[in-house]
Amino acid sequence: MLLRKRSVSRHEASRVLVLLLMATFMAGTTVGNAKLPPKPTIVVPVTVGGKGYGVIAIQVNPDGSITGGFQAGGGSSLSGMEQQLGQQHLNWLVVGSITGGPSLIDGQGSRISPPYIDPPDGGYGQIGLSPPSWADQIPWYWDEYQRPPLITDPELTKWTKDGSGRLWYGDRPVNDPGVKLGFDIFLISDFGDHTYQPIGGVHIGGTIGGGNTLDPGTIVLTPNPPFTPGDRNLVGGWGPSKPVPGYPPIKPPYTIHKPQPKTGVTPNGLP
Amino acid sequence: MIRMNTKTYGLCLGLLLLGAAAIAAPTNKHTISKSTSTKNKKTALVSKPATKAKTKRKQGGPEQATTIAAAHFVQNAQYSLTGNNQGLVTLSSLTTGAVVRTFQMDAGVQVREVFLLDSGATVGASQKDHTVFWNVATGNQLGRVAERVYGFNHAQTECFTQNPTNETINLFGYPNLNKIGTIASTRSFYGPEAFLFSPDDHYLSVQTNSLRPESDGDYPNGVRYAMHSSWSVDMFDLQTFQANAAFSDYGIMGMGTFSADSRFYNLTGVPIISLFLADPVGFDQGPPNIFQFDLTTGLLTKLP
Repeated sequence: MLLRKRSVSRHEASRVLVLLLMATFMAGTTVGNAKLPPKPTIVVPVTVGGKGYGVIAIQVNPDGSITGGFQAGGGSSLSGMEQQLGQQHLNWLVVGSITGGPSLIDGQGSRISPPYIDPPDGGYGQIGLSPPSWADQIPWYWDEYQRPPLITDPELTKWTKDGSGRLWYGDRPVNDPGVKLGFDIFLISDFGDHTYQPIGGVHIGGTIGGGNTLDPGTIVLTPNPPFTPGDRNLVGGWGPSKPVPGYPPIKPPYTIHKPQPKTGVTPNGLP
Repeated sequence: MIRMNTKTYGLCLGLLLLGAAAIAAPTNKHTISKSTSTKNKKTALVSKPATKAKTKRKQGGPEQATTIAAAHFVQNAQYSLTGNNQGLVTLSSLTTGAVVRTFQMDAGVQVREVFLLDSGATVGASQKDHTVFWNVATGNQLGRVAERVYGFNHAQTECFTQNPTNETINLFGYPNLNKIGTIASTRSFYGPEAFLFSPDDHYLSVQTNSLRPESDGDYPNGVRYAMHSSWSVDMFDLQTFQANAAFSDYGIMGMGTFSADSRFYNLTGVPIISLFLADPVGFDQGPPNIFQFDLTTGLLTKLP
């Protein structure tokens, strides 16, 4: 079976489908007499104003890595969907929590108190012997600009496949065994004017195992975690504080998107 | 949390496909950079032997990827070679167990990779930012590369490094150590975590991870604390100096093995994001999926 191209129905998901797919799939499969370990998986429909736009699908692999992403439905491209929603682009917002392990340090050397945005402003500072890891100062998961002297595409363009309607997600957190982690992963509509709107999401909770990665046997996946006022404060509090020489002006704090009637484009169903 | 049986999976799969989108043909987005000086003009630093001894090759099955975590140890039929965290490289005889020779790199700095070359006549070793080669018989230094060499092709005519500032790999000739060219990745390219040359040395697959390159204190297992990591596998064509864009577009997130004729790259139980997103319920819940990537056509085929 060749899989390079696949023809798929353009029918939109029905209401029944939406309800069914809200479920979390976590089952083992029998092969002969052997029971394969379960691979935690979740599929969450993304609906805005009652209209389905696709699914968020996330799996936790045996090595503790998390892979998946958003797949636009009905054969839509991401740009087509963005046009319909009046948005500029999609990205992820990840709000992390951690219990145990060493203190997290942000890119400016400040201690991070959970819940926190993953990755934090400027990235992570040195933790133990582990060196710092850079991230841009936009609160979304994939970097939207690159650290000098890198001049190639930022992460977001590399992990977005417009023609196929995909925005990928991937992570493999590592820490000490026994540390408990939680991630609220929100699909974010960024309207390009420092306003945004979460349009779907997944919560992943789990414990670091002996391999210093997430133990798939401890994973709990739930659809559409609430976007709390605390989450909003985390994003909105993203202040213009640490300029990067030679780089785009630091964006002002982000706020929840409120459609403007004069724009002529009203995102369907958004508050 | 709901535990679902096979029938329920089938129902959900069918329903899901109603709303799932097609996998579009991969784009051809990639950049290529090739050194203008592809010919080696310098005098060879190391005399090239008539025959090459292959190191760590497995017999009777596909060759497995070399992982960075195990790269500070290597052996052939005659010698074992190790590097330690004090910058010391030790060559020992497998038959007698005696230390044949030691080579001192920068003191107090972790040795990352070691290489037995030219049938054991040459030893190479890398630290975080450079690589040194020595003549085993004399102990004299033969050459130096100002980058960390990760590995050699089977013919021992080329080795590769990673340029951490512009997401490329660099190819160097061996034994002259001249730079042959540069190949740009199609993804965010961090430090190599595992790699594998095809049997005919036409292709090089490299898994990179933002957990690498790691500090000396985090070697060999990679960054110890990372709440945000990204990784991918690239397939580089070492003859055209291009990253395989079709391969990258599938979102293949783990290492595979090459077929003996170097035509296919076989993947067993490896996360493939694009296919998973197209069929998230039915794609990956059964036995490990086996896929075969055709390196000449760019097509991915699911094997029975």
